[in-house]
Amino acid sequence: MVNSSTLLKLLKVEPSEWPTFAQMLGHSFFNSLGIAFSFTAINVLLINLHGIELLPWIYLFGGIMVLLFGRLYAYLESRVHSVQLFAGVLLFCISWTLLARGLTMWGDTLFLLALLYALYLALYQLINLEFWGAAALIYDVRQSKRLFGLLSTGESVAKMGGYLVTPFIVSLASLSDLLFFAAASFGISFFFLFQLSRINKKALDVEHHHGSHSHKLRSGNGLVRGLKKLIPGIKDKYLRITGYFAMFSALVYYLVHYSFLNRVEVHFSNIEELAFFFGLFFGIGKGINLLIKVLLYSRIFNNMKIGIIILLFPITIGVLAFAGLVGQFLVPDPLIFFLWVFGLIMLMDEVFRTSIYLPSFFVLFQPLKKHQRLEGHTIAKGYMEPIGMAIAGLIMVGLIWMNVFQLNLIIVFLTASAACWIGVGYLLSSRYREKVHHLLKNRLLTSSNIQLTVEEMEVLSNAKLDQTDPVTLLYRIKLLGNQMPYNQRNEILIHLLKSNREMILYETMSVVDEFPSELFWPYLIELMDHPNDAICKRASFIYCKHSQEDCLEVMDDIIRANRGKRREYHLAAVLKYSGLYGAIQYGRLFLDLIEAEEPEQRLSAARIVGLMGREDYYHPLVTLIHDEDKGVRREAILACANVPNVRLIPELIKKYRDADVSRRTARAIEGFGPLALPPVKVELEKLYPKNDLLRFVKLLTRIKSEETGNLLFEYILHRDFEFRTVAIYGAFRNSSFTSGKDRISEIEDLLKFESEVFDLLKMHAKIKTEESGDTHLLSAIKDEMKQMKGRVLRLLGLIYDKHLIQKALDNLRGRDSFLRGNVLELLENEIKIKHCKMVIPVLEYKLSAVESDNLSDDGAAPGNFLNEIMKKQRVAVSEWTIALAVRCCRQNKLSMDSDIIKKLRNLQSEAITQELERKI
Amino acid sequence: MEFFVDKVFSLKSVSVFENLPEASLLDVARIMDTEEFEAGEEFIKKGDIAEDMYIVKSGVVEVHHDGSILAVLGENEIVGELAILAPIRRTASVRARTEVIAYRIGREYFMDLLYEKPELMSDIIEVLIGRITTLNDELRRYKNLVDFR
Repeated sequence: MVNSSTLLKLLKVEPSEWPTFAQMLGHSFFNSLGIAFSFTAINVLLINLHGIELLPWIYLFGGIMVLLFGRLYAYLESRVHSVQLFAGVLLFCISWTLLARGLTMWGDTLFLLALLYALYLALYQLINLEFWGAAALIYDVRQSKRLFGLLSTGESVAKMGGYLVTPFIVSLASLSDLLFFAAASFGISFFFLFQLSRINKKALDVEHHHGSHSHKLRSGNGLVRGLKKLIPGIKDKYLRITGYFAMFSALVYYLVHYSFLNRVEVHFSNIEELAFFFGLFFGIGKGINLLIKVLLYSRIFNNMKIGIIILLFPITIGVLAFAGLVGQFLVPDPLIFFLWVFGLIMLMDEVFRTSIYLPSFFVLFQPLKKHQRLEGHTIAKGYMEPIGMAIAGLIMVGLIWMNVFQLNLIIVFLTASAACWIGVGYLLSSRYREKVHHLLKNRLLTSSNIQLTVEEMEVLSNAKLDQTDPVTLLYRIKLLGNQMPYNQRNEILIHLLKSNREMILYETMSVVDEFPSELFWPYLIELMDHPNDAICKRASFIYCKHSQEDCLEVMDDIIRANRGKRREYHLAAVLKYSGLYGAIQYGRLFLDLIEAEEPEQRLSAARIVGLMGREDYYHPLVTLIHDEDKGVRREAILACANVPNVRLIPELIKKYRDADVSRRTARAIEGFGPLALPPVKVELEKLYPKNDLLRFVKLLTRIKSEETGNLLFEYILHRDFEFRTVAIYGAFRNSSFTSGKDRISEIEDLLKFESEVFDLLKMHAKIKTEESGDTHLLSAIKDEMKQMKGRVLRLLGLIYDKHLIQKALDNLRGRDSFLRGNVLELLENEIKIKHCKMVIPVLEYKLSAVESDNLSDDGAAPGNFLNEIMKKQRVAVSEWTIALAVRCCRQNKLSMDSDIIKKLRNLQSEAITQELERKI
Repeated sequence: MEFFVDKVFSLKSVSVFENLPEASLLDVARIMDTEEFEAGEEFIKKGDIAEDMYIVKSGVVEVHHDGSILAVLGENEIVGELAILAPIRRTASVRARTEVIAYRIGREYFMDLLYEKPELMSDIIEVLIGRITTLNDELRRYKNLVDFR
């Protein structure tokens, strides 16, 4: 049994994947061996006995047959367990081979062979659906990209072997006996399927979606209805395009296949020669195919995006077909030329179809939900490919019927079909990216990210016109506001102001604020007594805002009648909006609050200033910022965030280093935006201790200005880990940070650095040295690897669209492996390959793999973690991990270079210094 | 001298923090103060608005309510951990039974830390959601038990 981890690493198969992988390989091998024997037997029997003139009719008939079987497969797929379905396919294959063997003993009439050939075409489609269906269910999108190509090596080896041994089997027994070998192969394959179903019970369990298929049948009558039953309307755009792609692929294949056989038949007259040629030709083809799978497949997937890989094969065929189309006019003997062209295309088909094209085609379905993957396979293989086959048959039957069947006409159809195939492929590659985007979770939609057209708005608002439900009315008035007649709007607003639902009242008042009228005042005054503080506050502010000094009379009673927070709201509203009269009437009361001895009253004054948000109340606020009471100071600082007076900034900066009010001060400073930048910049140039300076960098990250970007970038490149991390996270959050070309190359360097550090961490997490063997340090190293995922993604966010990266971050946060796989797939399609190579291994690495990995296989010598990490050009890990590493080094009496000790002291970390000075 | 590394290990015993990365807990360790209480000193009073949580570093404390002792807590045990997340009222009083040394984390400081490190906030939210889920499961189990009876 192969269990060498070196081989697994070479094949890029994880140890945990090996049992299933081995079974899949066996399953693929015997499936393909059965196909190779069946294909050779039925082809040679038909061509040798009856020629290929009727092959187009067989394609036409076969197309319908495959379509019917596809329909049956789809019907069963949504009704029986996937394992039962797959087993049914294999039983059908065994039955077909035995039946074919029996019937060929009985007779070899054209009708019989044509029927068997058409059934073989159905069998071939079903076996494909079965194998790739099982693979699609067992593997996720990431595994499929890594393993699908390798899985199909079983097929290449089997077909190559099958085609090569065919001449010997034929010379020893009869051609029909190949069918016995085919039956035996399918039988062994059945055993592998049984094993697979045993070890992948959960993965092969698909939730049935009765009636939810996007390719539900449309209604119709008679013949039309019958046709629609066969050719369903596929509602899912993505599946529809993959279907068309598969259809053109089949069309091209059968055009080439028939033309090639047509040329071959002219050259070979006896059955042995024909069998030998087929065996040799397809054997060579499969040999090259196998070499590509083993040597090139993983390189292609590592260096190209799936959208490009999927186009490689159609473009190759397209170029050859076009060369044939043009070249026929340049050569003296077009017939020989066509033999070479079609031979070459057929060879390319044999070489690339199953090595690159099919695995990448099936990968296209992997980001979808399980049942959709199977549905996609059925649509592509069971519906659209047969249609392609039937179209190929129709073209050829048409040409024969018109007596113009010539290869120079076939090449025209072939070139046109290949061009369509490439076109659909191009569309498919862009749809694939969109689909992956769509399959990831989005953040909650808000009005800011819903953009409706005028027509859409009209449709929405008209649909709600006759409703009386308050939510609908509010929705309607918010949408139509301006366009509604004045009276109708006021009527609705009054109706809504009488509502007993708090949300309705609160939102209605914001509309009242937009369309004020004296009609609303009595309702607002009433709402000032509402038990909900937020409603009371909003009613008071909106009333005072629009009635200005007229509000004084009403508000006087209300202010006197209330205490506490409610009194503060009303007082703030009056002072804010009632001008000089208000200041005269309530100024003294406010001053008394500021000068009061009780901290509660000064606290109240601070809150009132915050609620008012008036620039000219700067002086009382400065007094309150420096109040002796911590609570008053905090409230005053919070109020500063609403008072747009720049003279407050220096006062706030002074307070920022005061740990008691630090957060509130940061919020207040942040409120000033770019105006706060110059004083913050001055502070950053001062020689503060590291932690104080770090605090100012954090503050810097919250100020949105172009210059912030320049300053932050210096910290992104900082040698110190903490400064770098704060700056990376801050720059990602700060929408004003943009990257020019110079910055991008520096960020790329950082990504490369992170990638190198990741490799180092991975090695130390695996190899338990005396030092990193410490459980705490090991856990810290794993934490570093985990944290690095977020950091490298944010670094990527400084190069690419932040929304894309935010989406990736959001979807990676959960434990859903489906979403995680799709995030990586999204990134691989949206970012440059060179960035993928640095970032994807960090994001894809599973910490659980650390334990399961063979510890000695990396060939890395156990080293001193601390020495290695500190030798890097930048500090690579957090001070916590370094502090632990220092503790471990000292406990294990491991040597530390004097140079490293010096570097450690320069980090200005209390935790590290403590460990350096600790007595052992 | 109080080692930061040891403070972080103590923080790991607090359920709110147990799943947080230790590197982040180093920041929490920085805002921890050490306080000493004499035997019999009541440092938490029932009905007060909770502002801090404590981790007992050495000694024994007793949680009492209306004259009866509800719990006796020792080394590395936590008093009032939810206080660092919300200003809730103390539901019982706590006094030192012996001489006690405890780490104190103030809510305001902790909130500052969350403001400076929003990524820590998402970790905390994850912990709290996990706790709600567990409680819901337990509630469902009890409900089933009651229905069964």
